[in-house]
Amino acid sequence: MKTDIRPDLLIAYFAAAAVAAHVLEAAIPGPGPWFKMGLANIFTLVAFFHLGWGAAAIVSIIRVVAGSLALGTFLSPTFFLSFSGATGAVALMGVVALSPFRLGPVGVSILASLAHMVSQVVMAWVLIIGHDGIFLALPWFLIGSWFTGLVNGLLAFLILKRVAQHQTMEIVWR
Amino acid sequence: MKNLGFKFFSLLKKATYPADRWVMAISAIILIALVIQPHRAGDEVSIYKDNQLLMNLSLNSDSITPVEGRLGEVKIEVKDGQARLLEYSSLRLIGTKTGWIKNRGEIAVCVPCGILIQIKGDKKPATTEQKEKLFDGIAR
Repeated sequence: MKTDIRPDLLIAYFAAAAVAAHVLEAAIPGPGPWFKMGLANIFTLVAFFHLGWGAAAIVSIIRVVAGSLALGTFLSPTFFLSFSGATGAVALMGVVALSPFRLGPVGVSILASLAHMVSQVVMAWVLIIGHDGIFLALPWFLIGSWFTGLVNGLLAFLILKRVAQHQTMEIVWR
Repeated sequence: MKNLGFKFFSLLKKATYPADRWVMAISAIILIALVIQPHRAGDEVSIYKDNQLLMNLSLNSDSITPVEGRLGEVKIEVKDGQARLLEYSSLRLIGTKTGWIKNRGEIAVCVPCGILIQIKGDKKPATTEQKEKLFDGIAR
């Protein structure tokens, strides 16, 4: 027997998981400069494939705002960088949703990860640094983003597979 | 290890559509093309705060220069023809983690501090006259 589940509850679950991943990741030392796994983005991807672009946008906004409040970086440069990155990634997902190509979580994750990094660097250039030299490092940042996008896409695929196996859940839009 | 690699590619195959594989291949090729550039050692390091040039330091003499960033003092260390950023108050210390930079165009940046350092080379481009002289020299 299937149980109804409201999409807003699912969005809340995904957002809570994303905020937890965001905070957890901030506590883990990174392997290098400008390099973060972006684990929270996995849940944005899951929301995108499971519920659609709107849900992904909501999860992303909640994650950035709640995550920054938890870390004490709200409205700081770090917040704006995080916000711009999330906006870039979600905008890219919107383009994918409108495109005729059938992309899975890995393809979307890589493109979103690259868009995330480009948006962050542009935001850093516009708001904070203002020096063109920052773009010289962009290809290296993008290489890192490519790999994190790949890993996150695979993890999102595994989570989506698990979610799809839940025969007791049926999303009911009200 | 071999088994792990096989499992990874098996998972990747399951998780991707043909369009995903095209995205992976094309983006990887573009990124590799962007990254492959010849590296040339620099002569000096320029220090910027909020995009304003504060000073240039020669890479030929070792030094530690403190500058005032948005979050407090940041030190720029020059040693053995390389430079690095040493920030103390930034949350993630990304500029410090960048480590030593020595090739022209390379940067280390602390975004919250507003401090950026960039390696510069010979700023004077060859004039037409100089180029002509060079070609004359080769011809002779």
